[in-house]
Formats: sequence, C-alpha cells, structure tokens
Amino acid sequence: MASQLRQLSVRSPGSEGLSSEISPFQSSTEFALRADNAVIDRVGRLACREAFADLITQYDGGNANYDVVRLCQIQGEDAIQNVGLAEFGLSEFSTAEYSGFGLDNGIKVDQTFGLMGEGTPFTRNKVSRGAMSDEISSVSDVQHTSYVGFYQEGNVLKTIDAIRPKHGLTNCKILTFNRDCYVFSKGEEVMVWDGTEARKLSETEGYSPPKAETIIAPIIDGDIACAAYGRLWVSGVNGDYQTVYFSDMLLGHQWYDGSQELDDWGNTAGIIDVAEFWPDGEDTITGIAAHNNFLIIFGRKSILIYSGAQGDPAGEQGIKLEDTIKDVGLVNQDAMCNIGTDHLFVDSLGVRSLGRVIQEKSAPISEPSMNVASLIRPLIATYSRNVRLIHMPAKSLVICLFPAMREAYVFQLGRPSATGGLRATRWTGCDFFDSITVRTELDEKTVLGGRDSRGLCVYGGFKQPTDYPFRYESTVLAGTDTLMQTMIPKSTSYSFHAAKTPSVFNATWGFGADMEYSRPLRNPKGKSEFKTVTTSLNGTGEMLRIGFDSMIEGTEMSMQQITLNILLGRIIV
Amino acid sequence: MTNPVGQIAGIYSAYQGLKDADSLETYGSKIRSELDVMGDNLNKGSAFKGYGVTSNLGNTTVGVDGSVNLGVGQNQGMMNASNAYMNAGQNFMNQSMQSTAGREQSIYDRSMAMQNPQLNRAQAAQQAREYAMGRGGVRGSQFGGTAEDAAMARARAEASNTASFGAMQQAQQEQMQQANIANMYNTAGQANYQTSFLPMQQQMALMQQAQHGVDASQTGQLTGLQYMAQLGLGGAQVDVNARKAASELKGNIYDSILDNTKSIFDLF
Repeated sequence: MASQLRQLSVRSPGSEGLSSEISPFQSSTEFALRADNAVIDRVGRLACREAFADLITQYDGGNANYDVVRLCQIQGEDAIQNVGLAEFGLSEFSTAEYSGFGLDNGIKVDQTFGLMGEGTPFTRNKVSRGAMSDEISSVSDVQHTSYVGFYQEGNVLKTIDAIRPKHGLTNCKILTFNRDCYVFSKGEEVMVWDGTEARKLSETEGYSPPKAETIIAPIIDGDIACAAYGRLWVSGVNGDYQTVYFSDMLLGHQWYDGSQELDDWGNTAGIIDVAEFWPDGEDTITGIAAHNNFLIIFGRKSILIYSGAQGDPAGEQGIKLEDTIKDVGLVNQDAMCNIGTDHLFVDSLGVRSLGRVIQEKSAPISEPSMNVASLIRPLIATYSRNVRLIHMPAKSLVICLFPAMREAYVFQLGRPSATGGLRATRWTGCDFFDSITVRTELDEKTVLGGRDSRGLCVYGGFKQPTDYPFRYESTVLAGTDTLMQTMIPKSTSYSFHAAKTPSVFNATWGFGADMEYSRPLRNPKGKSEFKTVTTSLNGTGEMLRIGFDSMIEGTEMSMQQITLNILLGRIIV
Repeated sequence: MTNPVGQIAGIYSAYQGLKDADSLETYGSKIRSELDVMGDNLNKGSAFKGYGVTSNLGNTTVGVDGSVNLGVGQNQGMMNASNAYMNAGQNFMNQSMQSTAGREQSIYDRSMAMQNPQLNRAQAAQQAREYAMGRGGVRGSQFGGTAEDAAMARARAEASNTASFGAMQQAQQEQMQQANIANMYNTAGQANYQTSFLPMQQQMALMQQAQHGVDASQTGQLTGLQYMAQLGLGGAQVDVNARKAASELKGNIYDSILDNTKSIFDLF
C-alpha cells in the first residue's frame, strides 16, 4: 500500500542564520547551511542583503585600476545645499524635505577621506566554502603597486599626492583625530590631512617627537593606532610593538617629553611599555581600542585592559592595568570594531566579544561567531593578515570581511540566535575593502570603499551593476523520528515577500551534501507583495534538504515559508 | 784810778773763763765725736735686717736690700693642665675655624646612608604597587615616569634636601660646639693657669702675715735705737747743759769775784 503524502513546513527558513555547528541529524530548520547574500530582516525572515550600489565613480587619478582600501570621515562643518546632495547619495532629500526643519541652509555631511591602492589587474582562483563543500571560482583583482590618499569633492574622488604611504591594505591605519585625518603606515612618518592640505606630522607647527634627554623617536612611524580619550595611541614606533606612545591631549603632534625642562609644561603625553604585563610571558601588540572607559591593548594571543586612560594617564588615578586575558587575541588591527555596547574582534577561533571576555575573564564560553565557527576558523587561519571586521551601525550589522575571498560572514546585531551566537549569514561578491558611516543631519549612509575601480559605493537599495545571488539551503529535514528513512519529495511551495519575482528563482533540493536538483520557480500566485510559487520535485534519498537560488535584480526579496509534500520510503537499517 | 788787784782778778777771771771755754769746746768736739759714733751705731742698728717665711709651699726670703726671693713658683701640675687645656682649646678652635663643607658632606652621607634602606624599601614597595597596578611601564611628560615615581623622586629629593640642610645645620652646630668647647678648654686652661699662681699667692699672703711680725720687730728695733739715740743725745745734752751751767756758774762766780774785788779796791 502506498504511503500517505506528508507535508513538511519550514517556517521562516534560516531565520536563525547559518550554522555549521549543528548535527546533520538534528532537524533545526530555523538554521541554514547556506544563506548567501542574506540578512535577517526586521520580522525575522531571511532576506536578501542590500546592494553594493555605486555612489562616487569618478576618480581624477591617473591609474584606471584602483581599489579604495581604507576610509574615514571628518565631521562636516559646512552645510550643503540640495544641489550637492545627490553627490552624497542624498538625492532623495530635496529642499522641501529639510526646509522648515531648521535646515533651510542645507545639511551638513561628513567629509570622506581614504586611501586608494593603485596597480594592475590580475586574475586568480579563489576557493570558498560552500554549504557542504568547497567552491572554486576565478576572480580578478588589482595588484596594488602604490597607495595614495584621496578625498571626495562633489562627485569626484581627488587624489592627495602628498599622501603616498608604502602600505595601505595592511600595516596601515587611518583615523580621524581632532578634525584631522591621520595616516599611519609601518615604518613611515604619519601623514595628516586637515580637510584642505596634507602634511607630514613633523611639519606641524610645534611638533615635538618623543624624547627624554635625547630624542627617542624622531618620527612617529608606527602603524597600530587608535584615537581615544582625547589622544592618539600608537604602537610600532621604531618597530617596537611592546610600547604604546600616547600624544598630548588633543595635540597629535606633541609626544612624550621626559627632559628636565619641558617644551610645554602642560604636556601630558607619555609612553606605556607593556612588555612586562603580557599574561603569557610575551606577545606583540596587534591593536589598540577603546571601549567602556577602558583602553584595550590587543596582542596576538592575549589582551591587556587598562582603565583610567582619561585625563593624564601617568598621573595619580591614571592608567592602570585592570585585567589581562590569556589565549585570546587579535589577528590584526583591522579585525575589530566597536558596536557601542560591545567591542568585537577576530581571534584565531573566530569573532569574539570583548564584553563577554571582560565579563567572563579568560574563559569565554561562547563567541558571536560560534554558529559558523568551523567555517570561519580556517578562513581566519588563512587570511589572518587581512581579515577585517566592519560595523555598519545604520544596518545593525557586523561584517567579517575576507577581502582575498571577496566574501564576508555577516553577523546580525540585536537578538542572538538560540545558541547564544549572533545570527550569521554569508555575503559573496564583496567588492569593497572598507566601510564607514557617513552621517548627515538627515540620514546615515553606509559608504563602502569599492574595489575594481568602482570608487565609493553605498550599501543600500538592491541594484548593483551586476545582479547578485540570494541563496538558501536548509539543514536536514526530518519527515519522521527516523532520520535514516528514504524520502520522496513530490512538490514544494515557496511563500516569499518581494515586489517583483526575480527572473532567476530556482528551487533547489538534494539529499545529504549535494543539492543536485534544481527547478525554476515560475508564475507566482498572489497579488500583494506576498507571493507563492510551487513546483514539483523528484528524486529519492535520505537526509533531504531544500533551498532556493535567486538573483537580486533591483528589488528586495525575503523568504517567508517553504512547504514540501513528501512520501516516506523504507527505513535504512 | 786802776785797781791792779781787780785787774789781776779780772785777768785771772778771764783766764779761767777762756780756759773753761776751751774746755767746753773740747768737750763739744768730744760729744760730737761721740754723737757721730752713736749716729753711726744707730744707722747700723736701724738698717733693714731682712726676713723670711717658711711654709710647706717653700721658703721665702726678703733680703737686706729689699730683694724678695719668693722661693715658691707656679704650680707645675696646674701649669701642665693649663697647657693641656689650652692646647685642647686651640685644637678645637682650629677645628671650629675649618670649612664645614667636608663635615656637611660626611653628615649628609651618613644621613642618606641611614635613610637609603628605608627609601629603597619604600621605592621597592611603590614599584611593586605600581607593577601590580600595571603602571610599571608608564611614563608621562609631567612626571618623567608616573605620578608615583615622581612622588618617590620627590620624597628622595626632599630627604636629600632635608639631609643636606640638616647636615649644614649639624655641621654649624658642631662648629659652634667646637668653638664652645675651645672656649671651655681655654677657660679651663686660663683658670688652671691662674690657679697655678695660687701657691705663690698663698706664700705672698704668708709673707703679708709675716710682714706684721717684721714690722713689729723693726718697730722694736727702731724704738730701741730711738731710745738709745734719745738717751745718748739726752745724756750729751745733760752733760752739755751741766757743763754750760757749771761754766755759767763759774763765770758768774768769776764775775762775782771780780765784782767783789772791784768793790774792795774801790774801797781803797
């Protein structure tokens, strides 16, 4: 007698994001084994990410092949009229939008500054981890031969010839301090952009290098840097990654003066030698950050947490070592970001939460990336030098970007998943190296440093120069309590939310690791934005998985529910 | 008319008168010679005989020419002590006149040597606290190191300053003390020096005591001589007076005889 048709329903598929850590024998359909170019939308559905859309594409540099490798911004002072708004991606704000709201004279927009890597294109293969197996593809990159500073003026990115650091992609840091942008490059003197002119730090009037009775370092040439608590904190000066130099209050050109007669008696700059305080005997400074009134000095395998960095660190009630943490470190200084309530960083084991680490001392029981730990760890091991962690505050996202892969694992801030880890998805085709949030008086724009000569991009909308895939693969679906039982999928229906059904929208399914079956989904039913498409399925096997493969072509799409009709076969014994 | 008997009596009377006068003159010469002898004897008898005092301290004599041989000198022991005191006083005075710089350094060194272990312990404790707080590697422009380092350095500097000023005061006090000691020794030396004359003074006091006896003795001597001179002079005077009276009596008798003779002759 034929078995009865059974219906499996996957509600809010992948709403808990990716998970590489659950057992394939465990039916947890809220997790996904693939969630490419996805985010979890405001109602908890798996939705496509927004586009890496063009923003500023004109570049006055001589080399046509360039990547924007770093970005920072100076707070805008001058209000911009509507005529300039489009150039900042704010064309939607007409005069009428802001007139009458105290913004009659226009709106203020942060000024964008950054570094470009110029070079020659080359093609290489890249290997990325799929849901269940590696995927090899070809990718074209720009081989950087030089770096140059730039700033945005109108709709053009203008080079700053005076800023040409040797390093840009790695061993480099740019940050804003007291309305100036500082470029730190390993072994090179700091370069400063004040929004109008560029100079070397030593060319600043009143420049005072670190000195005791003699000059300790004639120039500040470190590349590990942080601006916090009114000071610059720099390591790597003279190639020394055991020492942090901190500048005078709000004076980035005035450094430690240990001579008997101070040039400036108000100078409170100084030096911190951390060599004696590594909990593991030795380490090397890989990053400096500020969070929750602490100054955090990261090593490769340990962390030093200082309090009292405000005021005069060397004074009474000044800086002191609050805590040290072993066996947790930072792979490079670009692999950390502050999310306001926490400071996330990339350790060899994944993305870690400093809040958790502080709370739980040296034995954190979980990390934000725990759901994708086995996916992300090999990538971190391979790309530890250039993995980056980027916060998109306007989107409540943290991007763990692997530029060499052009892929990122994206963590959804807010409610964590059921496991305690942040809900994670994977983005592919990440044509950017860096991101900043350009704040205006009307809106916040998530600006991306585009690759492949794209200039500045913006994370927004759903229209990219090329369409991008939105893919999902479920975990193993359990038809009965007996996992190892043959299932015969007969049909499926996808309930999704989209203004327009993508032209490429395929149902995918398979048994075990392979999603060997694919069938286009056509003729959606439904007149509202909620639509349903159905298709018949075939094949038979154990450990059934379902998914979809779509291309985002300019409109948003999110998956509401997937329903399957199956027949149960024999039990494998 | 002339009376020859009267004349002869007159002549005889004159003769006897001259003869008596000669006898008186001779006697006067004799008395003068005797008075000379007596004066000479008185002179010799009244001459200063000298005297002396004998005590446990020594024998003091006053010579006939008035020279004094005290026979007692300064007390040598006292002199020696005085010299010793004076020498000591001189030494201390010399010391008190030296520059105090060397002594200041010495006192400072000792003071710091006494304080350094405590300061070192305090610094070690401070560095340990600093290390425990993770501030061991912190250096600031305002302090060179940390505020605690600066405080420790300040404490050391203050200790050094205090020791330095203390050493200066101590050296000055010592200098003053040496001056005082020098003064004390000098005073003692002077006192001893003065005291060394005490035997002489005492001998001289004895001499003064003896002076009364000497005076009494001389008074007796002179009184005796005076008596003797008075008696000698008196005897001579009495003798002269007796002779004078006898002479005058004789003269009167002669005058009377003459007068009587004349009257007899006048009867004639």
